[in-house]
Amino acid sequence: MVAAVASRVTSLALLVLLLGPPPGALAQEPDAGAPTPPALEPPRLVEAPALELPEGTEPLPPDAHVDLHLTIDATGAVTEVRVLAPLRPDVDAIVVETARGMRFEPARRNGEPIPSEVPFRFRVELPEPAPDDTPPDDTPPSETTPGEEPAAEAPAPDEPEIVDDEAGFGATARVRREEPGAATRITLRGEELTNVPGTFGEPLRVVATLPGVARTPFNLGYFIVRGASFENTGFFVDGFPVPILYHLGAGPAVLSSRLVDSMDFYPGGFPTRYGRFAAGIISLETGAPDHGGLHLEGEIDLFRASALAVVPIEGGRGVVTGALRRSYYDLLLPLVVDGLDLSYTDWQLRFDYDLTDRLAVSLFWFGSADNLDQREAAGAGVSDEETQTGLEYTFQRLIGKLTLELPDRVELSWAGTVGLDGSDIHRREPGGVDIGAEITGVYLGQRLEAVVPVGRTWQTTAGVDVSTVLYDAVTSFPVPPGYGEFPKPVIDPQTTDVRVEPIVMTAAPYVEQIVRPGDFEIAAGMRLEYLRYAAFSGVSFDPRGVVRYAFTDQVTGKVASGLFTQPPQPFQIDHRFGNPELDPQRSWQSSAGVEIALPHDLDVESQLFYTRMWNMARTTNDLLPSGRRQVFAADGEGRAYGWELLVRRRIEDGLFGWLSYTLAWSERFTDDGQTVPFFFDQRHTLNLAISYAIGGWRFGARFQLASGRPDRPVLGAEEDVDAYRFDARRGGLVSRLPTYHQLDVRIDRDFTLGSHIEGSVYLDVMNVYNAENREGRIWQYDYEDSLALPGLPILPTLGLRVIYE
Amino acid sequence: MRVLGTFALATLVLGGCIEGELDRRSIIDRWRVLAIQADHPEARPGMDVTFRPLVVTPDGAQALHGQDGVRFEWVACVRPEEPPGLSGLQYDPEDPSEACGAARIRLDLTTAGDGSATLPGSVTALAWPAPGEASAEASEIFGDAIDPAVVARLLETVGLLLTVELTVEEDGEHIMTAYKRITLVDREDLGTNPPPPRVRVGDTWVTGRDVAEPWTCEPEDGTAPVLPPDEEVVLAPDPDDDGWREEYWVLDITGTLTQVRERPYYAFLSTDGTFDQEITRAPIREELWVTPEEPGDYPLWLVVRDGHGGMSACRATVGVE
Repeated sequence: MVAAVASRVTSLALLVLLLGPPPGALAQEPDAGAPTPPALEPPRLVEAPALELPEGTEPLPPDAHVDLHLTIDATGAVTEVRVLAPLRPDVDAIVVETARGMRFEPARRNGEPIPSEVPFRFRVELPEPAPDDTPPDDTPPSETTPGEEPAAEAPAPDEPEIVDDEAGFGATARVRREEPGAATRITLRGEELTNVPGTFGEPLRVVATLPGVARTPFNLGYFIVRGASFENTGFFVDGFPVPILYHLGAGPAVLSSRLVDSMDFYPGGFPTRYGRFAAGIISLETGAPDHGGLHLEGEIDLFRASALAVVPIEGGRGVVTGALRRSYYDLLLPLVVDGLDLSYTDWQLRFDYDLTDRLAVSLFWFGSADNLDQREAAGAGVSDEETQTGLEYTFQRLIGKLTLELPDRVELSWAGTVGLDGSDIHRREPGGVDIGAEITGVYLGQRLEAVVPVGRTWQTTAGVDVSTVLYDAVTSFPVPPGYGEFPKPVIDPQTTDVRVEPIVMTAAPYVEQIVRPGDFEIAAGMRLEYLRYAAFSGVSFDPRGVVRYAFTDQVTGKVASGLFTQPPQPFQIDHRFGNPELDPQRSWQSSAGVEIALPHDLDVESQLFYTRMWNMARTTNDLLPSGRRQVFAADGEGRAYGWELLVRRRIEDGLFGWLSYTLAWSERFTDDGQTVPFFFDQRHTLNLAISYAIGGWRFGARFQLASGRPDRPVLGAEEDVDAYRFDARRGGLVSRLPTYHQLDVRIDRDFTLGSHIEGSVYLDVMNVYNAENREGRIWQYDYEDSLALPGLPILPTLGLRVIYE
Repeated sequence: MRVLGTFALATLVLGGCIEGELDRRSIIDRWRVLAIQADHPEARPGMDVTFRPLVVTPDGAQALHGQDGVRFEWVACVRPEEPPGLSGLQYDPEDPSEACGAARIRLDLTTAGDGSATLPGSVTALAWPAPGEASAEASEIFGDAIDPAVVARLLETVGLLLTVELTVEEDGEHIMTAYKRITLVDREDLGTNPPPPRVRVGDTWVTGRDVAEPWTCEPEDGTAPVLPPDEEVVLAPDPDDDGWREEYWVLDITGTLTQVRERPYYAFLSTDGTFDQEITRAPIREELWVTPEEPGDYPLWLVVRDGHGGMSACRATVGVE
């Protein structure tokens, strides 16, 4: 569960004890009165990552702090953190994690940097409402938003803040709670992203275990979110959309998990800063990995190898990060499937630099390339050496970002991106039929945003989100059959060479206003989505709102509703083979729920949702007055509704996990007024993920149980003599594929070699008991018999990760 | 596109993991309707059209109407729900059956003694009025869903479809149902069926031309082909037999009227052995047959389709020893 109010506070971390003796050196007290530089200078804190306490954090006592013992190397990096005096387990763990990311000006002896060990008091203070907004006498503790402590002092200083007090140390803390304009946002970070069994350490695959997400066949990297189709859920990196998040072949994410700072998953009702998708959003915020100086890391398992390097510059003021990953499926797959060549590569290069204390800049270049070359068809009794299938996907993005923090916590940010997408798909059939498409897309985008808080009760966010996508597609594709054509006895497309260059331009100013009267929090926003493509030009008004009410410190209710707009896919708007006037898809999403903080660090979130979808593109062969066919019409409609439950225990004493359950109906309305289930409709989806760390070992398990997707029963078949095939007669009564169940386990063992090398060995086994889950059915030619299309079998991988610092 | 590609990959990779085997349609081990030949596959309104079936039993014998309790029942129908369906275009892959089961207008046809049936010209004329005529009758047939002007345009260009359905019964029990289409079009140059096949089986040419018995191919040199058991044999239709391919009109996706030439599709079937392909695709015509392991006489059928409703077929007898 996440908290109801986003707020920022700072705390002070104080050095309360003197510098400890550095290894191999005799500690000396600094002589404060000496006019010349002391022979031994203590380390000085220069940078501290934001401390983010989960929503629902129980109130802290006055002068809350955690006493730590830090080991700092000669570069100023924190290499070891020990808790000397704990505060509370839930806070201690986060403080330790944060302390590991702190950077110091190293201790010096006679001017030379040396390693050191220091005691360190990390003080944590929670937010304090501004006196002019919420006078203390009007805001008794029992009426504050969960997770906050009442206070009567002035607003906390800006964040991040380096406090140079008399002891010379300081740190900042930030309470990260629910985003006010989001109906639901689930944020995962740290171990929650990398240690979930069955994901092979891939953070983005964790999405598949969250509420609102239906199970995806074959663990593909696309998601059915709240009953919407794959293409209705967008993938964002640092605020800009990317075409894929996963490599082909159930591969890993296209970004190194070490560069993923956090992942926000919005199953719907996302804030106005996001748009152009009609269902959910998966948003990654990236950053340089936590490091304490030069950091080298390598990882290898059965399927791939990767390397990562983090190089601080200018004493930690900036950092350069590079990562590269390459699979070697191409060596393994031929052992299983003849003629199948699959490989992927991804890379990231990142530069972060603090120009001043308030102005930061970052440049992030990343990309991926996937290749599939299949020269022998398999399955369905078809096999021919002349058959060739090839898929190549590439994409890259360069994202630049400037963040300026002004007084009074006003934040301005600008981000721009340029990207290049490429797809090359080709297939050759016996008989010389070549089908292919070479598609390139140039993506240009900019986002300018200002966040202006006024005290605790008022915050305005305004921005503009502009993008242009220029496609250039050279295709040799099968001409859709015309009127007068009979079904052929075998797939025998006639191809045509076509070049299309659609341009999709969008510009969306947006604003979001948050007010917090009493125990209410009201977020109201509007996004004006201007869309221009092919023969369509228009503006969609997407108002959205979220209202929260804190019944108690532990219980918050919420309701949300809003409109969402998504432009059609590029191939649907071609003026010859599509519909250039196709309207954008719309959806109206609403939800109501409750967030409950329970003892033992348990959070519960429960909500009902209802989504109405219209203007959905569907294929049609209607004849237009001009004589041409319409091909696509934006008149499809549907709805999805259900209930989501998330019970989550955040990392505490090495234990974390969650249980998610989704009860959902996803339906589409046919032309003749019938309501039919969506192809991927799943009534029940249950996920249980749990992980426990003890003594250098970490054990995890994930269990998934899901209803099968709809499957219309075959009542019989009739032979189409012209087409040399049988046509199934299917019943209207919908049956379902068998219930899906799968157990994944993961074991990690950490190790340390000397003072600079650490790492872990892990075993991750997907589908431990090799459940024969059925993903579909392969029918005999006359529909008298069928074979099950099996899901993924047991899939183990053994990996090694080594870190040098 | 990416989603489809990924699905395709998953199917390809996992296709190799499918356990079990399904029967192949090139092996006759159950009742089958191998061909229904319409004379002619294209007709003008008012013309008679005769349908002749080739039905085989599980043991490979030809099933004849009126013998051994076998009966053929014929129904003609129109499916006027959508213009694409009227024109032959399959438009709803989710519900692909275009047989007469759900048709609103059905007409029982009389089965002749040889199992054939004839759709009289009076029916085709009534059901498909000429352009500019009897729009009230067109409305009767098509209801309000279809603009009569669209019907008229289709009729004078690419043609309108009429479906004929054959139901096979044995001793009063339903065995199977098959159907085919004919095109009613107001043109002079009507499409016809391909000529009976001529094919080389191993080193022997067999042909269905100038053969008195319908659906039969005989060796040109008078000696039936004899093949070794469990041996890969080339089945090669006459490569020079290409002149029968006709042209027909199509209203393509952009609304342009274009002329398309028929393409030959050859399907070989038998009661045993293994065929490399289920059906050929132009320009490939040859098929590989691994002959049965057990010696004996085996039927070998060849069905040639022109991709636009025309077809011919014949049966040869092949010795394996």
